[in-house]
Formats: sequence, C-alpha cells, structure tokens
Amino acid sequence: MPFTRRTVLKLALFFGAIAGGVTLTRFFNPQRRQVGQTVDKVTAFVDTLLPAFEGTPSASDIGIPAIIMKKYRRNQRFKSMLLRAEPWLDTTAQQRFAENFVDLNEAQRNDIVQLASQAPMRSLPYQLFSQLREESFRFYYSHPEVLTHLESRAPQPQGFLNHSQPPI
Amino acid sequence: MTTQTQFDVVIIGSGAGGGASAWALANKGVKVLVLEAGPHYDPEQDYRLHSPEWELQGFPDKLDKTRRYSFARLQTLDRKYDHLRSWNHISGRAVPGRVRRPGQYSHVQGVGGTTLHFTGEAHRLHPDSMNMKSRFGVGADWPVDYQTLEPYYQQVEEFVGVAGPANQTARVRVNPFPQPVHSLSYASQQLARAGQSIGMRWEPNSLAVLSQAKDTRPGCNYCGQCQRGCPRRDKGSVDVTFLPAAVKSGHCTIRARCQVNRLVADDKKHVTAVEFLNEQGVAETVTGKIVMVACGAIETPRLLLNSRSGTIPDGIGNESRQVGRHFMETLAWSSAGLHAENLGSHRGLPADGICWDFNAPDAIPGGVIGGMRLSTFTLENDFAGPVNYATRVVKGWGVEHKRQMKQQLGHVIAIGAIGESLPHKDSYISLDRRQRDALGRPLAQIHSFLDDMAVQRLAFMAQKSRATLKAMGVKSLIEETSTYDIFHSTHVFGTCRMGLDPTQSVVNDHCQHHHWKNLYIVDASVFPSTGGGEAPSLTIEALALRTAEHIHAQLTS
Repeated sequence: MPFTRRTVLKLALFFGAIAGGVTLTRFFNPQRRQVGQTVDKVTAFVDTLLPAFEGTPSASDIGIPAIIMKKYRRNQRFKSMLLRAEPWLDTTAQQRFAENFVDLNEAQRNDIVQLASQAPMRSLPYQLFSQLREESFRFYYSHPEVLTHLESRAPQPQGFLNHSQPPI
Repeated sequence: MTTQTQFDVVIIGSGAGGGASAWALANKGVKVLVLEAGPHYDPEQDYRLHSPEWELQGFPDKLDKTRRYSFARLQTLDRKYDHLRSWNHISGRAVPGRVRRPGQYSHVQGVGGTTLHFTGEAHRLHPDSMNMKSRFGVGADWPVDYQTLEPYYQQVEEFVGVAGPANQTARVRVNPFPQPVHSLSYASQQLARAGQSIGMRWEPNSLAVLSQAKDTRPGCNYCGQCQRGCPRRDKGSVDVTFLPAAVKSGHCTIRARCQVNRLVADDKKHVTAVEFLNEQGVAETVTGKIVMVACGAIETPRLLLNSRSGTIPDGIGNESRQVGRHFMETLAWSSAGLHAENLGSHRGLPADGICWDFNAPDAIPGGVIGGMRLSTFTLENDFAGPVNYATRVVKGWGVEHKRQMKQQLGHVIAIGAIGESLPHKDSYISLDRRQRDALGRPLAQIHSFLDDMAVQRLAFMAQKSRATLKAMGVKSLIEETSTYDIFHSTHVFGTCRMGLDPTQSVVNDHCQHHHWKNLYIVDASVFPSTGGGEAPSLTIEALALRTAEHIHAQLTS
C-alpha cells in the first residue's frame, strides 16, 4: 500500500496519541511516575560516571540507562537496592546544593558521586555507587563504538599473532 | 522404563578420563556408550569471541552448575594470615568477614567435560610427588610410578598435540614434545626475565594447544581466551580430539543430556545396569559388561554414594568407607600489578610461561612439605579486555577514568601459583542431608579445611609472586586472589583413591574397584596426591589409556 500524505498524518496522530497517553499515564500513575524518576536519576548518575568526552559517547548516548532499568525490572534485589538508595541522592543534593540530583550541574553531581564512593562499603550510598559503576562500565566497555575509541577489539577472528612483540 | 542393548563398556562422563577411555577402547573394537549429563557445544556457535560483548560472559555454561553441590561451614580465618587474603584496590577485601567463603569448583557439564574450559596446560606429574607417604610421611603413595606412566603420557601428547620446550628439564622424557614450543608473549617475556633476575628459571609451558596445524585443526592464533572455549579447535579439548576419533571408529555412541541417577547392582558386587534420565527426561537403563565412572572428584563419589539400596546402605563401592574421603582441592594464589610500560598483556596464551623450581615436594624451604609452581596469570585472571580494566583496574569514574582507561590498557601483569594440596581428615565429600537437585538427588557437600602446612605453602607462593612482580618493576599491586579465604578449585582430587590396600583405597593400580570388579574409575578422584601444582588432565588421560588397555585385555581374555 503506497503511503499517502493523509496516511502519514494519521500514523503521526496515532503514535502521538500513544506517546501522550504514556506521558499522562506516568503523570497520573504514582508507580509509573516513580519509575520515571528512577530512570531520570539513573541516567544522571551513569552520565556522571561516563560522560561524553573527546568524541567518546556518554552512557546514555549508547543506551546504558535502559540496560540498567532492564535489570531493575528483572532482578528483585537490584530493584530493592535502587529504590532504597535513590532517595539519598536527592536528600544529599538538597542538603548540599538545595536542588534535586537531576538538576545539579556536572561538578555538583561528581561531588555527590564522590560522597557515595567514600561511604562505608555496606551502606546504601556505596552499594548504589558500586553497583551502578559495575553495571554501567560492563556494558559501556563492551559497546562497539567505545571499543573503537579505545582501539580495542574482540579477540577473534584475528587473534594476536604479534603477541610476542611489543605492542605497537 | 526402557532397557538398552548391552554395551561392552558404559562410560559415565565425557571429560579427560571418559573421552580418552572411549577412544582407546572403541579404537580396539570395544562397543562403548558414553553418557554425558551436559549438552554438546558447537565451538563456532557457542564461543562468542568475535562479538564485542565477548568479555561479559565466561565459559558459556548451558546447565546450572550451582545446584549440584553445597558447602559445609568453612573454617574461621586467622588474623595472623590476613596478609594472605583476597583483595582488589577498588572493591576492597573480597571476604569482609572472618569465615572462609564458599566459591566454586571449575566443572563443566558438556561433551568434553571441563577440558572445554581448561587453558590446555599439559603436565606430567613430578615423580617424587607420587611417593608422598614413603618419602615424606604424608598423604599416600601412587601404586604406579612415573616410568610406568611415561609411554601413556607420550601417547596422549602425540594424539592431542602438545607443544612444549625442546630442552625441558622438569621431567624425564623419552621423546621430545610432538609440537614445537609456543613463543612467550611479550608480557610473559618480561615476567620471565624478572624471575630470572632473582634466581628463578622460567620456561615456556607445555600446552595442549597446537603451535602448528594438525589434521583438520589449525594452529593457535593467540587470542588468549582458552577458558571461554576455543572456537578454532586448536586447543586439545576432548570434544575435538578423543571423542570424534572414538565415534569415527564406529564403535562408540555418545549420548548428551543424559543424567545418570544411580548404578544398579546385584548382591555379588557386580554393577548390573546404569539408570539415567535420557535427553527427553525419560527414565532408561543401560547395561554394560563394564562400567567406568569419570565424573570428577566431586560428582563421582556423589554418584557412588547415591547408588544406595537396602543391601548396599553405604553406596556402591564404599565397603572401606573411603569413597569421598581424602578430598584435595586447588591451593592457589595470584598477584597482579600495573607495569609502567604497555605490555599488550591481553595477547598470547594464558599460562604460557612457567617456573618449576619449587615443584618438588621438598623444594619449599622451611620444612614445608609439598611443592608448587608459578606461572603467568594475566589472562587466566581475565585481565583481558576493557570491561575488566574498567571494573577491576582503573579506579574512579568520569573523565579521568576514561583518560586512564586509554593509558592503562595492556599494562596489567599477573603471576599465579598453584600448590600441592594434601589430604586432611576434615576435607571430604559427603551427601548433603537436606539439599537435593532438580531430580531429587542429594547434592554433594564439600568439606574443606586448610591446615597450617597448607597456609605456609600458600604464604611461600604469595611471597614468590610478589617478589617476581617487584623485580619486574611493578610499584603497586592492584589485586590478589587467594584460596585461603575463598574456596575456589580449578582442580579437585582424591575422593576414590587409587592404592594397593583395599582398606585405605577404593581402586587398584588399574583404576579397577578392589571389590566391584566390573567398576572402574577414571578421573582425578583416583589421584593419591595432587602433585606440586601440575594440571591433572594429561595424567587423567594417561591413566585412562592404561586402564583401557587393561579392560581390553580383560574383555578379550
């Protein structure tokens, strides 16, 4: 079936309605709103861990927040940790900078991440830091775009036939 | 339940012992059935080393390995040995508490067994380590000696394609290694040089990895990922060596995904059948004139102990109550640090360099009995790509982390040591009284205890590892792993000991049960001692060939 201008307009309206519906549902459904806020915080956090820099993508540029939220949905322990730990981000941000975490600038977010990294190992802020660091770094450094920037590649099929020579 | 046609020999397990036995027997016209609990692996499809995400997964186990064994409470850690605990400079101590943590043992269920995942180390045992009781008053003696095993070692090395140094002095050899030695990676060359500067002799390791093409298998291309499975088939795992040749003979059938439940016996100490769940989960029995068990030093005793009945309340073959005793694990240490120079240390073969100086049972000074060996460990410890660098090597986050990632990739160098493990009354395998697997069978329960002698050996291994890295110019360490605070065994041994005395052992010098004459065991559970850090697969395979020769003679006499 050929796509007429009318068909395209109809499709745009249809998908626009769906997208609007999703936004409204999120606004009126507290649980969804909560998830939305979690996504925003996770995105801000992992972009602080992995910012765009010298041509390398940020974590959100290559979809890391979506990967983390997938784990959030599938892993109850991870979800529980995240839900219990994330209020700490806003509380601490408010105490130090009188704003929520997602509204801070990069230097301010780094300050909060620094605090989390120095918290006692069994504390929620440290768990938040170490688990988001582990998850985001794992997926970030196995992304083809990032590997290209690092001049790294998968071990096969070429192998490393120059292994006994100094690296170039 | 259906009953299959009788085979001459039914082999349970398709790893080093089962695979080598199957080939040796089938090649002589013996009708063999191999039952393997795990699936087939397709090297090209299953080992995803060409994918950008290769580093996210280790060996791609298809079966859940956590549901087969449990741990009894492990020992309390002594503060005086805190310098032997595992740590990482980012994540801190691996075990925050004061009780040794249960880890895992490296066991793969699949056609080819744990050789699918091994690094290919192909070692002959130190002859003195086969006489631990008579020479050093500990453990037990082997009922066979090195000279008896030598021709079988050679046969395996030639069949599999073992590459090693022409001038290796660690063992007496009648013939040279069949494949030319692999060259050391650039990083390993630097480590060997550092070792030599403090009086240690380092040399290329002997490896079941092809340095040149053999039959249809190509030579290695040094990707360094043997433990994730070799997609090229140059690593001599059993699935690409013994098993295809056994099937090609026309006398061997391999059935994957067949979980053996128990052995069935009559009252004349004769194994009459093997009960298993087949590929479809349907119960079957199969009969064989001879049954060989080759499931490894944890699963083999588990199977025998689970094969209980009213007339055999302690399990098949356990008259002397020796099944499960004398469990010996892997005593291991590793130290890793950052070198100032980019060594490109992600390249080459894992464990390509080795030092045998302390391998003899009396080589460690200070009255410590039992030897050890040192080897290059960077790739065995998985410092192989950006994911491991990002999470374990480069501290911090943000822009500076990204800068350091670019600068430090290829700089990690690690050294590892594996030492003798001696039997101890508190180290054994039993059946778990409470926990069962998905089929309702009791799990194997691991009891492990490291005594002071073992910890002193570990301390020496740590000292030599740290000294070598220091001699290499490594200023600060980034990670150390130790089996002092975490049970982690790449190899397990001893739970169906081989010996001449039926009251102190399970099988005789031909791996035949002392009382159950049609029952044989061909895995490392028959080892009376572990050796001083040698990898066991070559010895398992050599013993299997010798055992197969004995069985063939029995069947034809």
